[in-house]
Amino acid sequence: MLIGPNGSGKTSILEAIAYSSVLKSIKNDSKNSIIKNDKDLSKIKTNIINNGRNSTIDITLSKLNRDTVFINDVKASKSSQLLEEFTFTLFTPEDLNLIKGGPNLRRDYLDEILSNLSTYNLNSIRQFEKSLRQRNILLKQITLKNYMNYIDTLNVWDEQIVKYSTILVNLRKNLISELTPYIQKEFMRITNIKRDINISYISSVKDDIVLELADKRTEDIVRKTTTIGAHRDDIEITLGSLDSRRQLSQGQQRSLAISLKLAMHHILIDKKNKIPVILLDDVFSELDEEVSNNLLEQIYDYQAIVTSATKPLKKISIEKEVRMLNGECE
Amino acid sequence: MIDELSRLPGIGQKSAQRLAFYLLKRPKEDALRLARAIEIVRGKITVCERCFTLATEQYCSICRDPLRESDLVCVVEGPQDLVAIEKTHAFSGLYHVLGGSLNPLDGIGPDQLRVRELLARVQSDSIKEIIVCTNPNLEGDTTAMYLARLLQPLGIRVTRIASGLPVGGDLEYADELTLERAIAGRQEVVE
Repeated sequence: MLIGPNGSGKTSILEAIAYSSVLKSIKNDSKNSIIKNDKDLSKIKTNIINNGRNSTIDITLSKLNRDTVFINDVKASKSSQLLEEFTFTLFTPEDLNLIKGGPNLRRDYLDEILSNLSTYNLNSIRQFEKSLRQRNILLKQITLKNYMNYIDTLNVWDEQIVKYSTILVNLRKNLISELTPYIQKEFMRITNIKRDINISYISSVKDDIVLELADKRTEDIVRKTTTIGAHRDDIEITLGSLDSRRQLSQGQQRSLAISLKLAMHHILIDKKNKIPVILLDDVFSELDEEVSNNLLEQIYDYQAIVTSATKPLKKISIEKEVRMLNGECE
Repeated sequence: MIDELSRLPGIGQKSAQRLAFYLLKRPKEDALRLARAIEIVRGKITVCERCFTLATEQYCSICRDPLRESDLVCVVEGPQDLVAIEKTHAFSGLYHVLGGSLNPLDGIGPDQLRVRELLARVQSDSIKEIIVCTNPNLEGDTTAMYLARLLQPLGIRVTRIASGLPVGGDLEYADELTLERAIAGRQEVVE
């Protein structure tokens, strides 16, 4: 547990750990803002002990060149090699908005699990996103006047949208049915409330994506964006008979959000046979005491690195407590 | 010189510096031979008027070869793809270099590619089959789809190059996507 006031460097440590797995900032910061203003380089060195096997990761981030990664002193050629070493489950205060916030948060949640489960899934998501970007850029060039010049090109990009949107929606639907029991279990552990949790996939496509995409074509050209497809979908979570977005208290919404993240952690353990490190970034400030304590209990069996401005009240055994001030550990 | 060299693809500032010092260290004749080679090639090379690959005359050596099957045309993105296919000696038809693939993000539509030229060839020469050998990525696949929609109504057979496992490789080392395509494109074992 890392304890210290705001700006003392707690999150930077989580950031470094996460970077050693995904080569990407968890706060979506650009590389140049991670590296100190007056410096060109930044280095991360991570030691991992996994099933008694020791490995080291050395990453050099540079403002001028590409990142270099060494795993056990051997240069890594693909960033996915880092994922083989270790993965993590991250909880941030933003995750607490998973229920209340916009549909994009819930889509990203599903897609993050999918991409962690297989490279086939990851590629399907990327192909869909790329087709969508290509179609949207094309729509920007099209007006109702010059439409006939572009019709053939638009037709083939539509076919790609149909293909990859359908694949992605099916992946998400299958994931939801597997994930629901996990969420139900975690919600009960966190809140001691036993209710049936049901998740339904709300598709922007009612019936036939081919016909509906064709129907929306004029609207898409005028609005210069693709108005139906996997990127416009949402999920609806109900707790008993209550709609989680509208009929739950803020506390319950947050507990449900945490259950979603814990469910993600567990489904990845079951399916990938690998235990992610848990990174908890400053979530206790947003949670009431009971939920905080239940959350700590749930993650107790796993390695967890937790940041907090203050020490949570309950005496849960913390292996190591590090106090931080002005970027340094005491 | 370092600045000029570092503009080449795959050459960074460091490599450019190394190349420059190497050229200065070698006998003057060696460096000038390279310079002359570049000059001669750049001066002589033009684009084939039929298939748009690199050529030294009006038509390239493949288009001029009377033994090639003129009713079979292989569509590729660039001249380097043509060279790769030629090396196999497995293809005896003609080529058509598109100059890229459909990619709105890079501002490339049919008008930026040599699609109109292909259509003209199809109408004037008696072409029966077009094999689309664009790269097996989203843009290459989309281009293949586009050409199929365009040419099939004209009674042309449009085929797509197969993708799958590398020959001589181990199945277990193949990535999932390649394997998926290879399974989808499986073929009957010939008796």
